[in-house]
Amino acid sequence: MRLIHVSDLHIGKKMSETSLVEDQRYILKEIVRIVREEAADCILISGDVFDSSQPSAESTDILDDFLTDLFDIGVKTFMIYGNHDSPERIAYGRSIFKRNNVHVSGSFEGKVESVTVTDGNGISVDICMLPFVKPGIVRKYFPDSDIDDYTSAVRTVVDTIPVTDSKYRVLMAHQFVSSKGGSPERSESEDISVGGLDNVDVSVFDGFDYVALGHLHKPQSVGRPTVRYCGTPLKYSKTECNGPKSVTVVELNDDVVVRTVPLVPLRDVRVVRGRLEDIIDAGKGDPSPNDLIYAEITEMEKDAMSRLRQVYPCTLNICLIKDSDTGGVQTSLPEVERLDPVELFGRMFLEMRSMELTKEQQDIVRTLMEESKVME
Amino acid sequence: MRPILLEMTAFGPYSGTETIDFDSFGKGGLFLITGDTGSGKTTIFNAITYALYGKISGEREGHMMRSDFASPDVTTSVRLVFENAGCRYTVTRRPKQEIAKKRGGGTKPVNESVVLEYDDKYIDKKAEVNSKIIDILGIKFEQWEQIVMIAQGQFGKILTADSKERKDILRTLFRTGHLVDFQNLVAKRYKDLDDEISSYYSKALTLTDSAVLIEGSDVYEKFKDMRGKKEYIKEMVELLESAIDDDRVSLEKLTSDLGESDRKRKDISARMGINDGLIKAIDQLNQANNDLESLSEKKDQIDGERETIALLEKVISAKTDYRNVCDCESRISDMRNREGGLKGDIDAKMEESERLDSELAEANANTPVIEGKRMELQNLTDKMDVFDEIDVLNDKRHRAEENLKSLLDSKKKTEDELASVLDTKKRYRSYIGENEAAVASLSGLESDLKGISKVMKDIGRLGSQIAGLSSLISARSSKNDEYDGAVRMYEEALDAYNDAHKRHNMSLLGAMVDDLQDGCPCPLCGSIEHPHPAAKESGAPTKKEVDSLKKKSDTAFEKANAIKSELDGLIGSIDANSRSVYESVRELTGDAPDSVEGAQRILDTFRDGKLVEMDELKAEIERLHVIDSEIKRMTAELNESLDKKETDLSDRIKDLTGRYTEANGDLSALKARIDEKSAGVSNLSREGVGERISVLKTEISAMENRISVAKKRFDDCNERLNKLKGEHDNILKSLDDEVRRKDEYDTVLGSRLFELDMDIDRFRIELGREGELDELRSEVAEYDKALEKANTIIRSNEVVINNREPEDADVLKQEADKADSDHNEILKEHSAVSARIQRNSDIVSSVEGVMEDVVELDRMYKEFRPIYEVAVGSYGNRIDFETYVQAMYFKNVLGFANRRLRMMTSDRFELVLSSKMRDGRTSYGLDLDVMDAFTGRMRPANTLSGGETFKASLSLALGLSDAVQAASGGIKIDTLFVDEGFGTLDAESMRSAMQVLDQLSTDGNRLVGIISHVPALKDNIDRRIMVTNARMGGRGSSLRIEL
Repeated sequence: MRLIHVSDLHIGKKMSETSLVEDQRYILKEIVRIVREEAADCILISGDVFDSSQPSAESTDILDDFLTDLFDIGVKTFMIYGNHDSPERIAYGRSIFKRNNVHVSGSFEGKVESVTVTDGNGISVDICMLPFVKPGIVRKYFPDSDIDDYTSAVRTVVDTIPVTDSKYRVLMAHQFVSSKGGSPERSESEDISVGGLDNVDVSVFDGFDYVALGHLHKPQSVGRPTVRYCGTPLKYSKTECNGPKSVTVVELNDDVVVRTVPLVPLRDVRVVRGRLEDIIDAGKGDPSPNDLIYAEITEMEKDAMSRLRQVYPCTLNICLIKDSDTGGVQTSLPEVERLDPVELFGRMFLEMRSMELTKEQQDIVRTLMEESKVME
Repeated sequence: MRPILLEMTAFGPYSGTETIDFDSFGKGGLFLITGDTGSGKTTIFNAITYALYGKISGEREGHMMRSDFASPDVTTSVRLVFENAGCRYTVTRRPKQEIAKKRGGGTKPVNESVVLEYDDKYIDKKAEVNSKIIDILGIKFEQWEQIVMIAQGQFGKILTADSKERKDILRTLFRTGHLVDFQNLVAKRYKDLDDEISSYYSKALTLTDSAVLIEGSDVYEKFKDMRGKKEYIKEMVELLESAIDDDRVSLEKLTSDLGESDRKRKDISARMGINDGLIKAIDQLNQANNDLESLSEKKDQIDGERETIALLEKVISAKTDYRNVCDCESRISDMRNREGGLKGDIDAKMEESERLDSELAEANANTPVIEGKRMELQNLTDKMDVFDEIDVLNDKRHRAEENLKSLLDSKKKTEDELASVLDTKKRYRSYIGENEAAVASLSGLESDLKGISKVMKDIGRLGSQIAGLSSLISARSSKNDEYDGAVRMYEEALDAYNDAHKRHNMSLLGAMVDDLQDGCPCPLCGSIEHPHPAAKESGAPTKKEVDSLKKKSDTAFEKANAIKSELDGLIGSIDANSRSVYESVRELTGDAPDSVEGAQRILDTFRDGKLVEMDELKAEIERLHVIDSEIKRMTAELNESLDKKETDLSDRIKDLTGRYTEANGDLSALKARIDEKSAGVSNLSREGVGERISVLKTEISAMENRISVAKKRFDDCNERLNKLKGEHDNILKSLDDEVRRKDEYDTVLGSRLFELDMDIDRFRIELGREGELDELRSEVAEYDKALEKANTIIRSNEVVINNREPEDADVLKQEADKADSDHNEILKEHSAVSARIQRNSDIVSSVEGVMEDVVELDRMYKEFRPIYEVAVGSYGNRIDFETYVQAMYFKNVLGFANRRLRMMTSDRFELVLSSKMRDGRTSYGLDLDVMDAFTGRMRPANTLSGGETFKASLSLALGLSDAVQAASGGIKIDTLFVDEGFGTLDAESMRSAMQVLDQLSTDGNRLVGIISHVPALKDNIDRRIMVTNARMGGRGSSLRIEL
């Protein structure tokens, strides 16, 4: 039994107002190619299919093509919705799809849909589809359970999935999963749930042989190798420039084996750094001038964007990197807080008259400040 | 300031009471306020603002905040619990408003009110609360709205606020107000210093003016020209110093002259003192010698007096013994007198005792009389008891008689009642008897009524049959007319046809003639020549027309025939009906009618009769029904209540009779008792007995009193007698003792007189002179003292005089006067010079002092001037110190703000203080520019796009809040509201904005409320206040908290 695990397609996503339609069409074709070459039994799509809960016509068209391609090569497709998706829109036509081996999760109503798949070698696997859930909605269906955070919410739901006599249990989920060992790596393009802890402890998935996660954009395992985020198929932010993207392949035979197949995009997302002139000079010989570029320049330059776009037409952003850049975080008290008012005055005096206050002048200033209660 | 709980009642779009527990959002809380446009999202912020400051921007009048949807009797109010610097406050405000009266219609005004509670304090004065809250929060209303709320449509405001406005905000937030005080103080000091220096100079000049110089002297002349001139101060001082030196030399000479003259003056004064002493001593010596002479003349007299004193002292030493004898004698005489008196008293008392004894015996003789009177009294008292008993019995009899009378009354009344019951019964029975038969006929009458009703129905039916018949007859008449008409029409149609038929045949013939041609045989005659063809008939009807006329005539015939048969039918049914109707009328009324009208008439008469009959019958039945129900009522009463009443009343009469008899018996017994008792006192009257008793009691008491008085007197007299006798015995005994004592004293006195060699009479005379003794003694002592004194004076003055002769006092006096006047002259001169030196020296040292100070002040002035110029910004780029410090704070704010802004714009934008070049120096105020990394250029903040402006102002607001939070002396802003604006962001910007806001909730203890209806926010923020608009029901909005 061989599964291909992808997630966070974010179809319809733009970067700095730049459309990624072609990149997305290209990479989905690549995924189909890999599925075919791997002769996979199933493909699991773990949420955030679209970037928006109201996808454009173009976006739905891309997904249609993708699903059709998958159907054509006879692979069983499993798809859940993520936090970006509209559950109802994703679930459109699911009953008909199901008859054609395309399984899509419906709006969460307290139950996790589970499909048993058996391969030519007689290995049977339960594939359980848990779409994105929040404690609020779980509470609605489990009013008697003690649900106060995401962990207890997901645990409550997962515990209701019946155990069958299939050899393996696989769970699809779209949550922020963390383990006690450490926090997973995050990317700028991810959504954050504001004002609360949204993480789910990995221990809730102990009963599953493989957990196909979506939500985080960098490919990584959480807690154990078989609880895994496969990551986005494309780099969706500057922070993802250095991490290659891939699909995850899971073999469920005598043992559970996880490996990855790299994805090569139509256009790479890169950071170029240095003086503007140097970047432009180097860019003239760049073999991939159409890559999506984040420029970090070391000196402020006039009309930087228009000049750079002559070399790299798909420049997304330019920012100035300062030598002593501490990210704007004040490491110590600012000068105005640190200096006493007399010293402040001395500083102003020095700036205005290019000379220091004499000792006597300092005393005068101090006395007057004390009188006018500045020193309090 | 961090809100904990907000409660709004009838506020804005909220008609009821809405409570928001901000605490449930946690300390560092980011929450979303969402809902439809206009449902009241921003109102939540407004309510907090109103609670704190009593106003809302754009709405000055509190009563405007009252909800339009509020029930008229609910009072609009807002209560806010908040925390500031660890202290918890509750403020409750109610705007001025009109609310419905509880009772009756109309409204009543409710006054504005506000209460602030914290710790155990309670403030309800508006002005006090308002200023206290500003005190607590540290910011005023306008700043609150600007800093705490990033308002809808006004994001740019904080970004593009002018320098002055921003200055105010920074002054409040970073408390730079004291710097302004400092600047003012510096300016004031600067001016003071300037003034002071001028005043010192004028003081120095005034001082030199007051110098004292010898008119006409060299110095004087030089000095004159320099006066009043600042620049000559130093020279004037030098001139003064030389004048002082001259004066010092003269003063030295004067001082030595003064010493000489003083010595001379003192010598003369000493000589005068010695001479005066000598003259006085000589006078004293002479006087003392005179005194001594006169004293010696009195010497003999004084010696005699000394002897007399010695004698008298001896006599006086025996005075005590003499006194003892005298005292004894006088006591003995006293005692003898008393003894005689007592003896007389005893005799008198004995006589009295005898008299009293006989009086007592006399009184006791009355004792048997008293006993007799006592017996009579007892007898009369018994009789009095009998009278009392009779009174009681009479009282009882009286009550018994009354009881008897009331029993008799009751009995009479009950008998009357019984009679009335019996009467009623009799009346009912006779009524029933009289009317029973009539009621029995009731059912017969009712069946009669039913019969008449049935007849009435028959009449009705017959009436309608007659009406049917009448209509048939009138139908027949109109049918008849119709038939006549139809016959006429048929005849006309037939005529028309016959005529047409004839004309048609003629025309056929004509047509044949028309076609005749020579050579062709005539169809009629067969001639082949046709000299006179028949004339052609023109306008003849065609065959078709003829046929149509034929058909018409046939139709008219058929129609006439049809009407005829209808007419026949009508006649037949009239015959049949009229027969049956007439028969029915006859059967019912007995009269046989001969026509329809007749039938109708008969029926009407018959019906009128029956109607009268029916009315009478109904009236009778009704009357009988009334009687029937009356009979039923009476019967019921007879059976149920009257019999029982009769029995009850009879029983009561029996009972009353019994009780009467009994009471009568009791009364008789009582009367017998009274008669019996009265017999015992028949010949007495109650008053007589009473009077006698009182007389007896008085008599007995008078007699007994007399006995006891006599006894007491006798006893008292004897007692007194015994006491007198005791006293008499005592006196006799004391007298003996005293006589013995006198003998002893006599003996002592005798021996003393012997010693003195005097008889008793001489002794008594000498003793009488005792009073002279003191005078004699003092005369002698005075003499001795005068003698001693004169001798002393003589001795001492003789030593002083020592045989010298005195000088002439007048000559000495003249010498002394001369020396004094010389001395005074020199002294005067000395003082004048000395004062001048002092004065001029003072001036010199004062002026020098002043001039020293001026030097110091001048130096200070030079030090101070640059400080002044820098502090107030009158130097260089005209930035004052406060602005300089604020700019530093503001740069710090921008540091924080840029941290947020760069995150939201992927490092593209950065806020910077705008700088200007002036006089080759960079100057900065508090204006803002934006650095755009894309273009590498600065641009004013107000050129940013909508979304960019929102990001920049959000960053700036957060930066401000960060900086204030971080500043040590600053105020604390733990709350921030962002109103809309998210709609201007694309998905990517939204994501970065959310990241920035999320940081707030994790790294700052700040409560951030996002007011927005953007759906994407709902997906990302779980803690929400959902505002629901229930406008359709006119019930206002309501809210719900989701966590």
